[in-house]
Amino acid sequence: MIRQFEPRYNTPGSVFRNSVYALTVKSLKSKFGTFSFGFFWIFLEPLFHLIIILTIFGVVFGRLDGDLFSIRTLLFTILNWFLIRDIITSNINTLYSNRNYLGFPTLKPIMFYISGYVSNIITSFSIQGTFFILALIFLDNFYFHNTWKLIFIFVIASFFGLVISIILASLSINKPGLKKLLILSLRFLYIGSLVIIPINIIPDPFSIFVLLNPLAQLMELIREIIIPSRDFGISISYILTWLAFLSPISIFIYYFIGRHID
Amino acid sequence: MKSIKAINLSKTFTHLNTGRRVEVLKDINICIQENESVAILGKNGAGKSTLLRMLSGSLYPSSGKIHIEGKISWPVGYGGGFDPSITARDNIKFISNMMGYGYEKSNIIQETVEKYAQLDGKLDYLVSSFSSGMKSRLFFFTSIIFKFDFYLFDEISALGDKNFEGSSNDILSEMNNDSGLVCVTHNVKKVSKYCDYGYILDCGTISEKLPIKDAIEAYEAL
Repeated sequence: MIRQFEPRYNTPGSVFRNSVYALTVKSLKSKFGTFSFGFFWIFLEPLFHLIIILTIFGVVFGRLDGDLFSIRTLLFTILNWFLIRDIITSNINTLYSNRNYLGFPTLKPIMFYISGYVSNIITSFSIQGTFFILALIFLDNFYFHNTWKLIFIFVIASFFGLVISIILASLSINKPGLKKLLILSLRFLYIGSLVIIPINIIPDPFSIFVLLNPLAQLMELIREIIIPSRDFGISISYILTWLAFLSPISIFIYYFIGRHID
Repeated sequence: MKSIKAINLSKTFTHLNTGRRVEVLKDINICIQENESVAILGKNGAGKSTLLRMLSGSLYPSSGKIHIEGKISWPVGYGGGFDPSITARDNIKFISNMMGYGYEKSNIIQETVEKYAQLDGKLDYLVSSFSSGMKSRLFFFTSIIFKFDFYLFDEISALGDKNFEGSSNDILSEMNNDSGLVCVTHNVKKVSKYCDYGYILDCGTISEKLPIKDAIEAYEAL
């Protein structure tokens, strides 16, 4: 008789914990398990992005004046945007790319989303940590006392990524066309979130509307942390209110729409 | 008392070409008791695999309820639970982690699967490089190595090549004694060997629970 092993889950909590752990390990393993180009790309992508932006705005338009388009602010707005973008895209795609695993009765969509979130914050934390150290060494006027503030931004950005991703993934769970459209629309969100362009070069009547976007305020907050002389009335309570508003909505949409895979 | 009960279960899908809703299963009622082996027989496209996936919990019913008392496996012959882009060992580790086994115990599970699935020294190969027989053996043993109260088999005849068939038959016979089996298949020969009862699924509706002999007769008359 073949030796058999009892599944060690007796509570929904242990099923959840084991499954999220297994999915996270698998995701990290497929990302870092082989020392391939993909491994280097996660470090190279923000650098290439930075170089392209600095070339366009600095060399072509001559706007590299230290305050508007500076390496130290762009680096961290880009890295935090990549964190949000990666959580959203990986969670929107996860059930399509992991269809193989939907045969396991204990695996539920929320476990894929949480594991996607965890693996992305582990990856992003390593990247941001590396660039933070490089910025401390090589960039003038980049201070160590920004650490905790940037970690706080990192946490807030990751939560935004999680709640937005759960909402979008739940809405597009049975609609591949909508999934593609949502991923495409992230490019517009990128432009509207002030990742590259700071608020002070947007004309007045439009800047009010742009700042309604909590992600735009988050990116501006990063600039204010790194360059304390900037003051554009960014409100952390506004950002947190949006987060508090979106969190129950994401739970609601997941519960009523996102759990049902056709 | 361990059991699987489906009450007024229905499933509709959106047709990819027409966009219309198509009712695949309607008002399905089934009851499977502890240690009972049941076959679900039906023509191609009758909705057998859909029903099995709903019983496993990986697909939500459009209406109706499923009550499960006890631990239930994933559909064994479904074969989807493996990631072909990672090694067999990583796949086993993934399933072991999911079942609550850490690194130490996972090693024993890997060794046991390697031995029974006759994959000596091949666990570090990518699953995509395996032959269909090797994949079947790997998936079959990684599934049955965990002790469930009910095992779901999607196409019981698709378990592997002829050499493997003998050992899988022995294991199925042993499992039949202390676990429930739910088999979806066309293979009436195997069904008559392992199952006590059968349901006939036809045009989205299901028959009453019949003794396996009667179920096979009804299936052959379809």
